[in-house]
Amino acid sequence: MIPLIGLVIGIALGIVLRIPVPPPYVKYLGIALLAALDSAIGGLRASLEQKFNDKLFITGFFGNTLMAGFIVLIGDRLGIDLYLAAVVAFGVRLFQNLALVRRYFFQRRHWE
Amino acid sequence: MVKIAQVRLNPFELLKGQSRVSQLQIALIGLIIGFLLVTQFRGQQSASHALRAQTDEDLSEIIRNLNVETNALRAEAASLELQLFKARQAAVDARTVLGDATERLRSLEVLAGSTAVGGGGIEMTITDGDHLLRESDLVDVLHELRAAGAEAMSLNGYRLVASSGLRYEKGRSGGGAILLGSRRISAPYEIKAIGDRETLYQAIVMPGGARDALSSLEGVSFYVTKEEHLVLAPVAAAEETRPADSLGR
Repeated sequence: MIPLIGLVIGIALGIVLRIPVPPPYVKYLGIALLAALDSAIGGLRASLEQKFNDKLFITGFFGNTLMAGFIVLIGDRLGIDLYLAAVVAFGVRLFQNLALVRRYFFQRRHWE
Repeated sequence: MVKIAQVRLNPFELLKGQSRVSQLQIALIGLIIGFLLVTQFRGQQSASHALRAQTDEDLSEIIRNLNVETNALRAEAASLELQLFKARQAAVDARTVLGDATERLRSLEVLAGSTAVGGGGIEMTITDGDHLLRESDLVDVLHELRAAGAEAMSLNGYRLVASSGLRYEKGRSGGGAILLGSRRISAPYEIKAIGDRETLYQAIVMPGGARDALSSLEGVSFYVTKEEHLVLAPVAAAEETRPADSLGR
């Protein structure tokens, strides 16, 4: 419930504030968003497994987001599309975690 | 696979066991995610929205217009380049014309005597102990030099130009004087001429020439030397700037 409230407030803030993103930074923001989503889904999975640790979650969230942006920066400087590595890594984990969440959901249903 | 003893599925109860602080933190993270989502969507949309909104016809129209514009700009660049080339050409021509004009001005200045002239030439001194020489004798010598290609000449330090005149004036006591313009000049007459040294010298010393004619007179002696470097002063300024109407009458 609380994360959902936070999400709604964040969306509302984004709509109200209308912060323009210069085209070169769209890529950075996208990667950061992907990292953040990955952390959030990971957190959801961990909480389903009852292994949720708020310190791990929060440090992971900020660490991954910043690291993702940093990797894009390095890639830009080196002239390599290094952000693809971040996209693949976060994407794979995102889907894995989603699959697990889905599995737990159906297992639970089955047991009921 | 992890064995799940107890799965809380109701999303509203997911964080039940967490402390208030960590719930707030998680809410903050939710807030950040939402904010990022909206901002990113907006940024992506504004980047591609403008083109995506167009139909295929519009897009091809835009491309056609851009092509036309590109061609026009290319044509403009070509014409500007041509203009630049023409301007450069004109500058070169102008420089040539200016060079020619400067050259001409210099030779005219030498002729008009408005500048000092330096160079090789001859210098001669004519003494006249008995006052026998007339202006015509000097004119003969000067004509001889002019014919031999003298570029500039002076008589007793006065520059000779096209308007210079020599005349003889009888004095009251019977004697006379030679006048150069309005100036009285007297022997020894010193003539300087700038030009080809050899030619000028030969013109003076040739048999039956000026030297022979003058030297035969009583009391007249004639010295001529070739000079490496002579400098002739310009015509005096006062003589140059006579009022124009005084010439007409």
